[in-house]
Amino acid sequence: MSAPPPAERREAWGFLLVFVFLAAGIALGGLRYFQHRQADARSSAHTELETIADLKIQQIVNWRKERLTDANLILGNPSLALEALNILDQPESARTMQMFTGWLDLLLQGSPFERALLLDDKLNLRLVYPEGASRALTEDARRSAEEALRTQQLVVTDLHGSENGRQVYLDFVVPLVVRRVGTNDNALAAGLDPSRADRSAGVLVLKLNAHDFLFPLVQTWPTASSTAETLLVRREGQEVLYLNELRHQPGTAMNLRRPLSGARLPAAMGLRGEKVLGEGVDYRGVRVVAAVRPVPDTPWVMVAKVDEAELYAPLRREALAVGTVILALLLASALAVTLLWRQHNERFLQAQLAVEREQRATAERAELTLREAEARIRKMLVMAPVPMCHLNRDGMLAFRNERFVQVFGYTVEDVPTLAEWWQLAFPDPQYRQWAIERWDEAVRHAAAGERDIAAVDYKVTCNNGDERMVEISGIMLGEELLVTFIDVTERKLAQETMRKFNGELELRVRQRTAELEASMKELDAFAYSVSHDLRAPLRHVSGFAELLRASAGPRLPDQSRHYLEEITGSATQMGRLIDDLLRFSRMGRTELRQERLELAGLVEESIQQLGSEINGRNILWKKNPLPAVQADPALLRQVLVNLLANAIKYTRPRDPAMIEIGCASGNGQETVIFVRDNGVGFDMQYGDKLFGVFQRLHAEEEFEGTGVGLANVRRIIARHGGRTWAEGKVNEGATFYFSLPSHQP
Amino acid sequence: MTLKRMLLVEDNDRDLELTLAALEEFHLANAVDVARDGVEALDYLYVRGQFADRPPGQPIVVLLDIKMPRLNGREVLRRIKADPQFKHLPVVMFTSSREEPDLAECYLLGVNAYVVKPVDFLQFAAAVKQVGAFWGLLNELPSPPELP
Repeated sequence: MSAPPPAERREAWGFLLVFVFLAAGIALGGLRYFQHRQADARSSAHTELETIADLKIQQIVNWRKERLTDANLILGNPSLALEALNILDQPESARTMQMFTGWLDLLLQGSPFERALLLDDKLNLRLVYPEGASRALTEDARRSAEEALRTQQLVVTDLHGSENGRQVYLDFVVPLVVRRVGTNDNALAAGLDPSRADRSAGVLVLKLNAHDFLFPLVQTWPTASSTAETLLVRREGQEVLYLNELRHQPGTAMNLRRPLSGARLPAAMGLRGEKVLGEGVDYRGVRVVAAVRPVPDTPWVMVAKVDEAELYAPLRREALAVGTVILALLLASALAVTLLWRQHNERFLQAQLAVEREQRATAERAELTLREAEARIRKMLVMAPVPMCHLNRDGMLAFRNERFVQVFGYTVEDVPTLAEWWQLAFPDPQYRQWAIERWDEAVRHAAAGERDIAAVDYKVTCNNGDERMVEISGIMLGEELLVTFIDVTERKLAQETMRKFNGELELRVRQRTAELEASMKELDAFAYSVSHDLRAPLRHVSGFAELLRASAGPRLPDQSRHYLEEITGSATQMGRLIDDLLRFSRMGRTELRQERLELAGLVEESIQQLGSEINGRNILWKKNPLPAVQADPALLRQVLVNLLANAIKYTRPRDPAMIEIGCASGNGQETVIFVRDNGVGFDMQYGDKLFGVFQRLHAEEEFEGTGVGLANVRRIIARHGGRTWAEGKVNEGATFYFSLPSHQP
Repeated sequence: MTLKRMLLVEDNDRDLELTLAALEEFHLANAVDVARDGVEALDYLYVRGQFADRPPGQPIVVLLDIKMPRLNGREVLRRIKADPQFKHLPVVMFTSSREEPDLAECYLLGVNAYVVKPVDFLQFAAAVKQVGAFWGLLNELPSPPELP
């Protein structure tokens, strides 16, 4: 398993750190708590020890008091003193001995004193009670006896070892004094001045074995404890003397000594008078909790102590237990976390592995596909129907396809680089120069960011000498070029032909236009001529005929006058014809002005223009709503005038004449207008003749007219792109229609 | 000092005769001077050439035909209107041409009236009469500037 990635490792370290901190925290907390508990234990132990010490001390004091009482009782009893005196006086008297012993029995029966020793006033041992007990007497005892004799007071010795060293005694030395003064026993008891010649009979040394009561008292412990003890010490010089048998060391009673200077020895501290705060190091060198109390009326100090170890043992056990549990838990959790993390890691890595494997597989597949695609594309390039080549940055023709070779005939050997291409394909040096410049320019432009090499037509010379027009272009791919060649020879030829053809066409069109313009001009001139030159003679004919009539008219015969009229009439008619013809021809030549016209208004204008014709006539006009149209206003007015004039003319026999103008429903493409009248109508058979020039369907005598009006209408409407037609019935009126294309405004 | 005379510029004999006959009917023939073409018209106005000895004074109206040899009516009109001396002279085109170009150009040149000669003589006569009456009798002219 490979190392976990850095992020994971960091994570692990993080966890570890947290764990460490946690553990430290717990440990610290535990420690403080433990210490606190220790202190508590210590203080409570101390209190307990004090209590025990106090208790024991109280007991010792009581016991001592009792013994003192006992001793004082003996001291106060004169009988014993008397008997003692008797013994002194009659040492061999068995009877006195018996008496004394009897007294001793009485006094000492059941008392804790081990033995009593009677000493005479010379400190000679006279009696031992009980009989047979040891007669040993230490130096201390003797000294005390001496003092008692002297002072005639009770003397209590301190604890001291026996002759053989194995026993420890406390002596109560009672002087036996016979008081001379009175018989007042109370006075004796009061300890009267020995200078009143009292007689000392001796002393009675009451020996108290410490082992009997005192030591057991000291040494017992109220509660079950493995190390606790109380002990008594007293100062001897610069040393601490241990008075009783110590628990932890045998043979120490009155034996063991320690230096008084011991800094932490509770006994020493107590003897020095220092306050013992509780802790210390005892005679064994073991740490203890101690309570030290002086025993009143004695030089003793009692030390109640217990080993710290014992005190703390339960705590330690507890701490250990808890500590172990916590540690175990921490370890367990650490382990669990580690395991989980490991597992997670493993899973992660496995997943990664799987992914990698898959990726590799995909990559391989992709590569395969790519290679196949490459091969396909390469094949396509090679087989492409357009000559192509690939120029790398050294100008080498790195690749050219089959068509290239086919079309130009240059193989790989012929044209390895661009240089050969220029040489072979452009044999003419001047043209080659031009081609190179154009090519370089196009490539420069492409390099500047346009990518496409602009297509330019070049005349390429093939291997077999053919010249072909080729459009060469391509694109830039980084620093390399893909160049395509498109043979445009045919196209160019076609273009040329087209251009020539167009040119010719244009020429022809221009010629025709010129011819047209010329003919138009001729027509203009012609019309001008006609209008002027033709009219003049007409005018003359008319004029002179009139003059003739005016001058000779009255004198002429009717026939001659008639002939004159005919001459004038014809001349006038001719004039009208000329006018109409001129107008008709003008119709074709003027430009068409397309305007939006309101037909209704135009109709009104036309009617007004024909005012003279309408004069005196009874005409009923039916003017329907008319739309607006796109047309030349002047020309369209001409149309309306002509149509209305016709209507007016041909309804002359009618009274009233009914002329209707309206709009017929045409398809959406054109607007159809009609003029209907109730006039003489016409024969539909000849309907198409109506609109012909100079065509008339009525004789001149019936209705004047030149027959140009409708021809004009047709011409004008035709120029607008519309149609003209008519319906009629002989004697039942006629309707003339014209249509105009409706331009969407 | 100034006689009320009209200048008639007409090249055609017949037209001339007819016009004069018409004017005669209204007794205006005596007040008419005739020039046979454009050149003569100008000669008359400038009192030179064959008209050098004509009585002084400017005509109250010039009746001008268009189609004439040498100088045509339009030219005459242009020159008349170009010359400060004659600019004020009323000029009436009296012609058989109703061609739009003629009309337009004459008005552009500042012609005072354009009358087309009717073919019908009666109408012709009426037109002449109206023109003559109007320009000869009715129309007011400013005082002509002094002739050089």
